[in-house]
Amino acid sequence: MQVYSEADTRFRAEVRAFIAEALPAEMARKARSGVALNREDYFGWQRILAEQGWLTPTWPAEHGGCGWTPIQQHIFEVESHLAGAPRIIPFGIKMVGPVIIHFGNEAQKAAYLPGIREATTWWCQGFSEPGAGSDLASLRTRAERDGDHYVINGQKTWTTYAQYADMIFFLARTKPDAPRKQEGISFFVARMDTPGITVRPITTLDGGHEINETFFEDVRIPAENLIGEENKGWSYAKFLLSNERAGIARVGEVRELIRDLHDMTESQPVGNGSLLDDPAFLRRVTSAEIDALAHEVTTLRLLSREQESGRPNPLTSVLKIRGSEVLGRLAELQMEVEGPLAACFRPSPAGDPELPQALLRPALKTGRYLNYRKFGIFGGTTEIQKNILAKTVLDLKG
Amino acid sequence: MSILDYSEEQRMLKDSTRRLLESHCSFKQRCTHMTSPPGYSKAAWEQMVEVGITSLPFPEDCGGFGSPGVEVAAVMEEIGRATALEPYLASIVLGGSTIARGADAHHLQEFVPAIIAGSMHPALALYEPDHRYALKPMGTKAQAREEGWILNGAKTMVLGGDSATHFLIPAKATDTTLLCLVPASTHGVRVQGYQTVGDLGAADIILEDVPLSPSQVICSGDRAEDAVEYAFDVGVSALCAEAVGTMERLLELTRDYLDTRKQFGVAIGSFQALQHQAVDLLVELEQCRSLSQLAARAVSEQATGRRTAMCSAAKAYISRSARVFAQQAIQLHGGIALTDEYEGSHLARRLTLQSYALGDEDFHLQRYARQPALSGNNAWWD
Ligand SMILES: Cc1cc2nc3c(=O)[nH]c(=O)nc-3n(C[C@H](O)[C@H](O)[C@H](O)COP(=O)(O)OP(=O)(O)OC[C@H]3O[C@@H](n4cnc5c(N)ncnc54)[C@H](O)[C@@H]3O)c2cc1C
Repeated sequence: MQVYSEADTRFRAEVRAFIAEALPAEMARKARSGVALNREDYFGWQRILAEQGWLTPTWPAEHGGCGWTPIQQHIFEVESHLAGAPRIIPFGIKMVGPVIIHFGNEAQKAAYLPGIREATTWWCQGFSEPGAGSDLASLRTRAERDGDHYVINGQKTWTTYAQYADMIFFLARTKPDAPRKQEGISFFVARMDTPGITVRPITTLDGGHEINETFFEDVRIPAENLIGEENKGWSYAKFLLSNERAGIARVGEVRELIRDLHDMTESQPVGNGSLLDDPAFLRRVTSAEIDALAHEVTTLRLLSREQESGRPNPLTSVLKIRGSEVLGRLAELQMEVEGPLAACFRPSPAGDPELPQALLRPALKTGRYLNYRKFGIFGGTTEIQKNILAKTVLDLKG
Repeated sequence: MSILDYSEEQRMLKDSTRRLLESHCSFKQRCTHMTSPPGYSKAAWEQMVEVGITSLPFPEDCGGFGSPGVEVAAVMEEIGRATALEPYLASIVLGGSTIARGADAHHLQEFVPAIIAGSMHPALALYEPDHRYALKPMGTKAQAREEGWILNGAKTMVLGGDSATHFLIPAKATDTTLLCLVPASTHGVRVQGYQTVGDLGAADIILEDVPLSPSQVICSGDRAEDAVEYAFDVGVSALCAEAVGTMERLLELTRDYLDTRKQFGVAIGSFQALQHQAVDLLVELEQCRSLSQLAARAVSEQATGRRTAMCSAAKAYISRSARVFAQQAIQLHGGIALTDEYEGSHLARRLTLQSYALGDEDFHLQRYARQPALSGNNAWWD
């Protein structure tokens, strides 16, 4: 049965061969184990891709793009995950990079694009605020012009990996009295070491540290850190978010989780056999696998339609909704493979500083299950995606 | 009084437990207790002893209150609301009921007062590595020697094991099952403690040539199996009640958050999509409450017949429901419920523990299906 074209099949073989050759075994082992990765783990792999010219495939050729079609990007993502490569952090490559390419001036392109392309500058995203989540346009962080500077005051939150970041891109209000709240917002970038920016870690329910609060207190940034025009930030943000949603099917990770779930089920001893002999469990694994199959094929179908028409497809929200659900379900099943050990979480104050060896994997699986609740929340919640579909596809007016 | 509801006295017990927990185990306090040994509050534990709730499941003739079902459920609902860390389920309900059911008069007099007094913490070691939720000992073996036995084997995910003074170990002997009581300090017993996803302590135990005197065998054969099955059911019923309390509190928090969190200029609780999801939680909670009450009564009435069926029915349902409930409550909150600072995320984690502790959905569906089928026009509880 042919789903990929001849060319895409050859492309897959090429990608596979490259990753097999270039991905260091230790890097893959660490990424697959499920422990938290650090800045160097992520950047290490990104630099290898940068050398190959594969780090910024969607960028225009003159900025270092390699012209992959959406299907080829999809193939790359799946192969990367199956091989255990650290995932690509999107903030520079998929978010701020394209915004600078489209709306930045030549000086900004020269200043910022090389650091993204060569994986030397880590970017974080300062959009959300305590009072502005789904309703992003209600953000309150202010930027006031003062000579050839802007002075920033306000608070951002949920800033993923701010602790690793060299730079932040963010939205701030430049015209508080604008008639519509979407007007009067501007798009800025700033160095994270600018005086007045502080980062406070947020511990997530799985005990991890990947998100932060970011405070701006009388932060003076040069006026040339404004991207595009003043008060046009909302349209740049919408452009950015449409790019963010495109990668949100997470099919690569789904495939990795399915494969691992099979391996885990088969090698999980139960009495004299394995968990695979348990028809109730097998049924649930199989049912999740078919959900994943439907999701991947839907992704491919929508991607190829997009490839033909050259226009973003509003049905993309289907991929975000279902991708979150499938990933959540797979993480749950991997946790359930562990049986009673799934209840293990972390060392106790009354016990040993380390978990017993046999409980390391269960604790990671349970932590990940909890962590994966995030997929239904960031990048536009499931409810917001459903609002979009109801309005744009079903044409139901509220 | 309505059917399957708490009586006036039981409500008073519930209220006083709530007050006790509010003053000793508020969310803030418990976050401190969680990170320093023994992983719970000794002061709160002493209060539990003081007000007498540690005596609830034990027979009256050894100083108990004689109510392992509904009264324990009333207390456990409050423990679930507070996500309390004290080893009530482990020491009193599971460990205590095993001894209460299995021990002879002499052992009862020796141990039960110490358990009620809160000084002896027996933890029931149910699970073994690679045998999932099996309740019978598989790899833990007792070898007879001249005087007594030698124990070898391993147990895992022993609730309360990290702070237990004693372990109740089911072990296989040549042609029988022994239920052994082993002090945690015994030579050859290695305890590796850790925290569960619901923040309660647990442990893995390795037994290496542990010497056992004849008096350390609480009971054997059918009686040992019955004691474990009984304690398991009492524990399941208690855990179901705990889950009901946790859900109830999480629904309150969710409701309040929907009512106060504003986006797009309105409370998010004004969106019908969210109202309906919140109501789904309410519908779920009421199912869980019913099955928990039924299980508690089945345990109180002490008739083995439908006891196991009703306990497994409740836990099969609640195992699934608890997890889905947590997932949906988090989703209704947005980002805030993913933070460790928020009480709701601790409740969600506790629901995950309640889902997997003492048997998951599959285990209890199978256990239920093995009980005698409904006959004729009988109701489930006949
Ligand atoms: C792990 C994680 C990482 C993140 N990383 C970043 C980051 O790096 N940078 C950044 O800027 N942001 C980041 N975010 C923020 C993320 O984009 C927001 O959490 C998201 O937009 C939702 O906002 P909120 O959490 O305030 O929830 P709210 O918007 O308050 O939503 C609460 C609930 O109300 C529902 N709701 C809201 N509006 C409607 C409506 N109109 N109709 C129906 N239901 C509605 C939501 O679906 C949700 O169920 C991250 C979030 C998480 C969880």
